[in-house]
Parts: sequence; structure tokens; C-alpha cells
Amino acid sequence: MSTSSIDLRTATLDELRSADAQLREEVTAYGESLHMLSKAVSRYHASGRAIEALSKETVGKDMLIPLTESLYVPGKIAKTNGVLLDVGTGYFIEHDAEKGIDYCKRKVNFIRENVDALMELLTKKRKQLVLVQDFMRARMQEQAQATQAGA
Amino acid sequence: MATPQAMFAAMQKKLTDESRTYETLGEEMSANAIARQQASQQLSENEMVLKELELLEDEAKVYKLIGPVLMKQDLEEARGNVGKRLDYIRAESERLEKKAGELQKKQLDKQKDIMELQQKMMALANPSGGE
Repeated sequence: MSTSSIDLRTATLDELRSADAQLREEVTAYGESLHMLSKAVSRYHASGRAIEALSKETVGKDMLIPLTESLYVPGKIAKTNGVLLDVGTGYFIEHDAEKGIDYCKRKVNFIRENVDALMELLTKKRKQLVLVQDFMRARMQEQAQATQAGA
Repeated sequence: MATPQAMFAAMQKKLTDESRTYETLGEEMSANAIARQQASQQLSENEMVLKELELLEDEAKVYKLIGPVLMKQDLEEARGNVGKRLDYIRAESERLEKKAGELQKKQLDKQKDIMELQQKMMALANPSGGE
């Protein structure tokens, strides 16, 4: 995933073109990842808040359980201070509410760190892309002038 | 001695063959890239699971999803299993990484071969001035 470094001042138009294409691809890919990460952050946020809300309820309280987005069935809360966390690769861990909230917070922080790092990278790549495009335009102009002079 | 036409035809055939191998190499490389990406995803997912498991106290209850069922797991065993999986994925990543390097080298070599062949064919088709 590393961009092979080229010297913009001496690069040929073809080299600049492929660098441009690669940078564009990278910028799009990073943008998508960023979008996915921010979605994940909001999901963990929502989960954390759900645990918090649950822990304040009393056992036996009536509630509606969503089976699908539009179908709900009545039920009762059986346990307010315990959650099962899906930590990935098929492993689930039983925790009390406090630790569950803690887990969500930790995840949110972890993803935020990644978002920040990715953001930095994206800005860097965008700058590089602009630079490459500037050089590409200049090189094309040079070539156009050269052919005119030659004709 | 073969006629120039026969030599040219033979070279052309070789060029087609070489181009085909070059393409196959490209396909192998993109398959390898996908596999590498998957391995690195699995690696980070398993690392995170292991980190969670390490944070747990010994009496914590851990379950593993096997098919549709959640099976109770011994914490130590779970740690061991995830650790082993990590080792396996790391080895797999390394193997794929090495393979990627080899493929890239092969592709470059092929590219050189093809270019040489094309130059030879051009020289043969156009021997200083042509027909």
C-alpha cells in the first residue's frame, strides 16, 4: 500500500498519471474507511447508552422487543445488571453493566484514535494529489508548447 | 536455417504465451493482495479479542459461538485458543508477504522478457529499412 516515491520534477507524464490514479484510489479508500469508522463509533455510542438505560430499569418491567425493524413483541426485563459482549471472532463475555459501558467507551476511544490517524493520512494524501496534479498540468503544457514549436 | 517468416511466427507464439503467463501472475498477485488484507483484518480482530480476554478476571464467564449455540468456555482455554490462532494467522501473513515479493519479482522478470521479445520481433520485421 506504499506509494513508490517519485521525483515530481523529473517524472514523465506517464509516471505522473499513474501516481495521480493511485493517489485518487487511496484518497477514496481512506475516505470510505473513515466513513465506516465513524459509523462504528456511533454504534458503540448507542450500545453504551442502551446498557446505561437498561441498568437504571427494574427487573420485571414490561418492554417491547424488536424482532425486526417493524415487528415488536411484549416482554419483561429479566436482568438489568448484566450484559453479554460480543468481542469478536465468536467470543462473548459476560459482564456487569458498568464494565459493559466501560467496554463501549474503550472501543469508542480506540476507534477515535484510528480516525484521527486516518484523518491525518488523508490530508497528507490529498496534498500529495494536488501537487501531482499541478505537476501533471505543467508537464502537459510544456509538451503542448514543444509540439507547437516543433511544427 | 528457418525462414524469417517461420522465426517471426515462432516468436509471436512465444509472445502470446508469455503475455498469458504475465496476466496469470497479475491475477495471482491480486488474489494474494486480497488474502493478505483478510489476514491482517483477522490479525487485528484476534488481537483485540485477546486483549479483552487478558483484561478479564479469572472468574469471568466466556462463551464461544459455535454454529447457532453459545458454548461456555474456560477462560484459560479461550486465551490459549486465541493465542494459537494469532500465531497461525501471523505465520500465514508472513507466508503471503513472502509470496507477494516473489510474485512481484517474477512479474518484473516476465515484463523484461516480453519487452526484449518485442524488440527482437521489431528488428526482425524491419531489418534496417524493411522490404
